[in-house]
Amino acid sequence: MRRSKNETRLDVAGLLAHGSLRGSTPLYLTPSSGLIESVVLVSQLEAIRQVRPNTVVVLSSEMGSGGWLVSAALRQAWERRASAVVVADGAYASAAVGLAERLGITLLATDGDPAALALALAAEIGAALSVVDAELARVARTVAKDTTLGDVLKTISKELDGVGVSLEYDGVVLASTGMPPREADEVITVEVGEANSAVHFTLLARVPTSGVHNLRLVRSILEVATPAVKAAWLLEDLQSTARAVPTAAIAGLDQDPDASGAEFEIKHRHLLNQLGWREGESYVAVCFGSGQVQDHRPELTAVLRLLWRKVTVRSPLAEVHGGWLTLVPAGDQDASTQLETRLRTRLGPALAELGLVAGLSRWREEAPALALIVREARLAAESAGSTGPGTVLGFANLGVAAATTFVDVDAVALVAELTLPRLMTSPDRDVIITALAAFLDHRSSVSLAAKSLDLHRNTLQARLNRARELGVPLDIPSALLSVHLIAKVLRPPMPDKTTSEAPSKTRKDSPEDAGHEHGARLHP
Amino acid sequence: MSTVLNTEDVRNLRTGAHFLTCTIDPTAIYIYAEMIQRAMEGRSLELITVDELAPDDLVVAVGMVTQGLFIADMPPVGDEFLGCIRAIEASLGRSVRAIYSLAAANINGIVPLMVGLQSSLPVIDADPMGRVFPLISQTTLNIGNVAIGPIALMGVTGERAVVEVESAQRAETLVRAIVTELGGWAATAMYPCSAQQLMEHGVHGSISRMIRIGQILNASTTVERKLLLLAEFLDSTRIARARVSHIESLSRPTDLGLPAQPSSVTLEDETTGRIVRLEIQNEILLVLVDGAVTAAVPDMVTLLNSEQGTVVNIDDVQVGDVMDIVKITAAAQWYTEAGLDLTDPKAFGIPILHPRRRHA
Repeated sequence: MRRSKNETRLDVAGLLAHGSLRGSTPLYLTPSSGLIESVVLVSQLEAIRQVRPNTVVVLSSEMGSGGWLVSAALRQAWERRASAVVVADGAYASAAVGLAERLGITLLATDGDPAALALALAAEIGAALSVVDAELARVARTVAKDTTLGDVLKTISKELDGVGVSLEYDGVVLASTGMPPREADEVITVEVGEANSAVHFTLLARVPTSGVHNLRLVRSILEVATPAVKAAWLLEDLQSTARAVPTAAIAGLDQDPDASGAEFEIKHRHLLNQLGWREGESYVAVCFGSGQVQDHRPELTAVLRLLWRKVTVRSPLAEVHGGWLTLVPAGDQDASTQLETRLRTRLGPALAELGLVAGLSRWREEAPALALIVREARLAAESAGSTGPGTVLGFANLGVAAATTFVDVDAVALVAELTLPRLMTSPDRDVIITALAAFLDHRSSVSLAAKSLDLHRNTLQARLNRARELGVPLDIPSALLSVHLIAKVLRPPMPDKTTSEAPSKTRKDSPEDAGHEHGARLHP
Repeated sequence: MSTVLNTEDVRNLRTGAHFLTCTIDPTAIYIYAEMIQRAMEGRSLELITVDELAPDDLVVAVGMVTQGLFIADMPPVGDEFLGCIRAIEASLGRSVRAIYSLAAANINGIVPLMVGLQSSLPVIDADPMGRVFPLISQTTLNIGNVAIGPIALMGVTGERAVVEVESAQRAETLVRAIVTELGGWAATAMYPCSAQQLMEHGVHGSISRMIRIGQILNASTTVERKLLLLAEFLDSTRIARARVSHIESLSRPTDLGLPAQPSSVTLEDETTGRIVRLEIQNEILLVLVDGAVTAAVPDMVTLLNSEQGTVVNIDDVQVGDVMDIVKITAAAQWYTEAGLDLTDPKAFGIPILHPRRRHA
């Protein structure tokens, strides 16, 4: 509020110079002029205990006089952080002036009726507040002209001298403008949301604690801007929904997961053309989800759309079954890589907060069918789900390893319990399973496996023989894949190995995934 | 247990009676103390505890009631209190067995000793105030619904009145009017009651307490040592050691029928810079430290000379004096709801909440 902020701010010095306090005698003035927000005329000392900060306390003439009264009033006013105490002329003693100085509270004497002074001051405060109201109306008109959320936030920030303004959801910053946040900022928040909506946004202003801003005024400005924020957000959401129809259509039309992408393309060529998809153009599909279809929360659509703007504003985000989908034009491999990096850096933390993950399709020169890249992105997102919230996973890095992410570990563990009871109850189970996993990981090479475990090959050989004794069908080739799966699932955590960044290893090598209570799931 | 008092006890009692009020003019206390000491040359003075009496023995409070006149300005003839006791006995048709002080400080703290010597009645180590208050209705006996009347009054002219009255507040008005007519002060006997009633509703150990205070203050030792001993004995606290910076009189309205000129003293604690304000009316009613209520009637506040440890007369306070301001908690009865109603600052025309009420 550039123009009005100083005009509407009443303080002791200003009102002494040319306001309702002009006729009063300053007995003691604090070095910094106190802000005035209200006035009370008290006839009982105890009433001062109730006054709000920045209040001028006027002692009524019927309250009597006496230095003790002024002393006690000064003390109580000081405890309430009042702006000043006004007494009738002659009712004070020089000793009271000393106390005002000691406590650091302004003491004024009026030779007129204190009640008249209080009335004049109240009128002046009222007038100042009406100026504030006019200014708030102006701010409301200004923000109402903005149609995008970004513009609304910028206007609010401008009105508040450039302070940081942001829209947040559950601690996740969806949009922000103005000065970056600092530790010492005073944070003023206003809720933005419909009464029946599950989504509640918070509009925040981070006001530096320099004291030039009247915090109540800042709150009022946020409050009058709230409808504009809501309108801009709803408008953008509506527009995004409309623009996202072609994207949603692809996910909706591709109901036959067994058909190849080419068949889909041939079958729906006409419709795809009508929706604006052009043959031969390369896209990268991005799929967001919680990693588990049943966890899908459609109310997050609006939140995710605002976040998605941090990556790109051109490709609309569609809400589809089990998550959200978007198709981003990518002319070459670099564009695809950049997209993945942007997603990871700009959205990763927010996705983690919201409990979401993202998967991307591969970029390929020959511009594969849209249905195929959508499926890739979905698979990548579902694989990412097992790594934990915030994961951004490209299908290109996943390859055939994606298959292992769809293994139901609980079922595998159960199979092991039922078919290999002697192994499962053996006290050296963990050692043997570790040996088995290493052996199979190294294409049945005892030397390589022993080296990877830092063991002598004879030791490893002894453990493998022990596995055979406990019923592990290590010498039947057709059973080896199953044994390998069981070994992977049951392998105890290996604290000395950190989780690999490589997506192909995320599931099976990460310590927490080696346990069997995690991520139980059949094919989606 | 009864004690026979000696002249040294009377000297100490005089100091204690002065300490507990830091009265405006202690001359009368000194005059009475000297008379008592002389009278003791011929006869002994017995101080008893109330439980030494039979429960239904008649006891009566004796004390001076003044209305603007210092007793030293018009000394008593000497038979006034005896006349009052005879009037009470005639009115009730019973003999008074013992007497007690109307107040536990100032002149009324010492007068009963003289009356005891004159009448040969034992003096009870108890009183109905545990300190001194300006009004005769401000007593713990009044809180305990013990009747104030009949009241006998006798002035220097030999005229005598017996007021038969139930309400202590009404008695206040009647007695004040008669005292004015009798010449400005009157010897009185009031609150005639049984030893049992005094036992239940009085404040005990008043006279022996004043003697002990006098022993501490009259000892030849340092001021700090005296303050320490007082703090141990009375559970008193020193609010501040401060220098007088300002004296005002008539800082409050005086139309409340209270018998003394109000005034205020402002002091500055030179080590901490705190500003201390004393509100005075007969005695110190209120102490504000930096505007905050630190002591308020019924708390007792007294001033001690910071160099000699002697009691300071309020009338002698001058700008520049350095003194210790000492707060003493009054008898427990005064901090009950009924006690505060009778004696908190509002009862003295100061519209401020007693801190004990605020935290109640």
